[in-house]
Amino acid sequence: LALVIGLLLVGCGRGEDEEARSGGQTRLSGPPITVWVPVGDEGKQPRAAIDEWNRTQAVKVRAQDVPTGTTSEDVVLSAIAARSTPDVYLGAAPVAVPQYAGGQGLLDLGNEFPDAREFVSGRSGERILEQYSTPEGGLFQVPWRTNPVMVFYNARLFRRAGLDPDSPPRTYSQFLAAMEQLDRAGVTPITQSIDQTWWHRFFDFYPTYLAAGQQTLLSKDGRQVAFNAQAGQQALGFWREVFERKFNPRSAVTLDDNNPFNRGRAGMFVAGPWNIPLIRPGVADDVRATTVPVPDGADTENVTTFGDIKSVVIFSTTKNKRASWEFVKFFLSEGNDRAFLEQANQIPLRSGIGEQVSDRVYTKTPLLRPFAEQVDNVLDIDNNGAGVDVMTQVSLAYQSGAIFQREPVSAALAEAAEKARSELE
Amino acid sequence: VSSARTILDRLRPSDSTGRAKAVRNRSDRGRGARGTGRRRALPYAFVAPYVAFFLAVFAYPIGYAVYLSLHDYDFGQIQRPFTGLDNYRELMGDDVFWTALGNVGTYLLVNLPLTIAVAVGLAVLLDQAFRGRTFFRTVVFLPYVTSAVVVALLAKWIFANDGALNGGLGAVGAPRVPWLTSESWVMPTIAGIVAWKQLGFFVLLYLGGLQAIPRQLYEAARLDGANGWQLFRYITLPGLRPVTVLVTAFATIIGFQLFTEPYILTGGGPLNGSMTLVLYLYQQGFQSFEFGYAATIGIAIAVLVLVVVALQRRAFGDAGAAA
Repeated sequence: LALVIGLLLVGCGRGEDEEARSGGQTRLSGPPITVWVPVGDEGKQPRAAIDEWNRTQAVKVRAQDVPTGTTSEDVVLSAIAARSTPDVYLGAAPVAVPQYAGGQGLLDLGNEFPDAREFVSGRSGERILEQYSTPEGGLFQVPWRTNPVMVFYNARLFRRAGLDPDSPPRTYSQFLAAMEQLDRAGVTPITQSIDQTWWHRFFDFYPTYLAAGQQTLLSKDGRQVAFNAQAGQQALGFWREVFERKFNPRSAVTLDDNNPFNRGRAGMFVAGPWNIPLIRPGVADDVRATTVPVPDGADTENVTTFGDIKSVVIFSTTKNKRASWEFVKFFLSEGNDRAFLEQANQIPLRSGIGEQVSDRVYTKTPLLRPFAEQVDNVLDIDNNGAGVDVMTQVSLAYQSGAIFQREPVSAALAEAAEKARSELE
Repeated sequence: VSSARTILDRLRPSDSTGRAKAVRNRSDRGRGARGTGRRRALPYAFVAPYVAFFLAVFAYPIGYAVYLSLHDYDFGQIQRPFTGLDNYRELMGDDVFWTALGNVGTYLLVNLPLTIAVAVGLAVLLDQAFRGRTFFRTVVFLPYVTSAVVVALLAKWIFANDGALNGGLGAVGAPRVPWLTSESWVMPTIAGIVAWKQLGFFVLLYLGGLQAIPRQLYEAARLDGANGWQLFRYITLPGLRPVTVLVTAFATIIGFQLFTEPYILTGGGPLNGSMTLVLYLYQQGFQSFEFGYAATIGIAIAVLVLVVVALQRRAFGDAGAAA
């Protein structure tokens, strides 16, 4: 009996503790791990990386498509509640990660793995590490990829309106002047959706707010509202003028190839690089990208924007923590990051990735370059469980202060700030 | 007309219900006197599967929802303390909840009369004998069997500011209407879309109701000299009353459960102008992960539906009780 118990104990402990390095390669043991992979084209490179891992490692990785649901957040939430999560998930939304962690669904990587913080800061920089650490010092996610939000513009329509597409607008007054010229030329200047749903603000107010103040909606400790200040008023004031002067139609346009910009019928559109393949073939050659508007007089060279980041997380149900972490590091290695950008046209959150990619990628998709170069100047939503609630209040302020001009910008922001404070309590 | 009324009075459901009760009482007495323990247990065995199903699928979720509503149940928090009626107090002071309730009220004010009027009209038309009747019945029923998401996406295209409908209005020189982008237009627009989507089902109910009206009523009324309008006003409409009660109850429940259309068309905007109770519940539960508060909204919806439908039944009198 003692022998059996002894063998069992040894067997159970192997996956966790036994690790040996031989010739620079980690030798792992224990049960296989399961990884949730994004569906569609986005999942092709991760699957190729998993195949490569399985060729060299004893602990095999099984790739599974993320189950379908209303949103991926709903799916993960249900899985955490049912304790049916896999080991690793590629593509967690940072806005939901605090909830997953609060529901005891995630491993605190900073606590479990001594090299986790160094890995994140080495790959993406100290600013990202700081943003994704919880106020209590936890680290539940490794930011994987970003879709920096920028302003697409149609060079042909710019020329038709007498604008120089080689010198795109950068500041509020330059943007408003360009919109005025487009409007006079009979071109719809810009087409952002007026939909009330909170995440639509990622493509209008929020990037301009980040650009104006380099500060997320809340204070660093997540306890104070920060948006009811100069940057918030500047950004909301800019959008108010856009709507007041009827440069943006009050329309709930879609974020797909039916958007008027993607059909060549509007001058500008704020979106991430995911929009590149959605631009219709006859229009794509005319499209370029510039940074989001900043207040007059602000630095136009290093403009911060919304990163629309997705992360990699390890669920607390994993039976093989060590192998899961080693896989995460392998998946986020320099080679795999480069391959992901080249194959999926999405930007891994790796410092300097813009210069590390071969020129043939930019020759094939020239529009990708400005997005890749933006990667060092991105911020995301607050790493706080109330992120969605706060963003919902901001969205209402945007509707009432900018789109419909029901109240002054300052009153709209003050009202939203008061409600956001009660959400934080 | 007077002959028809006499016949309708005889057909009142209260009579048949009374007779059924009397028969049942006699039968129960007989069985009780002769019954053995085994025989007594047999009915329970027959209903046991349904009771088990009811407990698992209805009673447990409802009980759990009540439990959640009495706790500060935030998915992201380890502590989920008992908070008594705090969630309910918060709900009473929640502007968005009252806005959503008001929006549902606006929806019902537009949707109910529209649904009933159009469904009755179409049912009467489709009840006539004419060539291609089956084809038209199928056409009317098609939107009902089409996915709500597909209908909403189609409606988004039609009712967009630069959509098909405004394009048509512009072609005849009429001004554009902000169907989905104005607080005052958005709920009536959604009410119209849902009425169109559900119409087939309600027309079907009314067609069934029309078949149940005895033909001799019309013959008797015609002999009394009634014209077409009088036949409709004094025979068809009263004859359809039980169906109207049913349609009103169904349409009211659909209104309180309204989610897909505002979720896809507007996200609850503009300025919460199309926020509905279930959309708000969804946002609280699955965007903010406040399951305790979401459950409270769910309980409130259930109570509201019960109260409103009970009031409707009372307003419709005997026909309501029969339905």
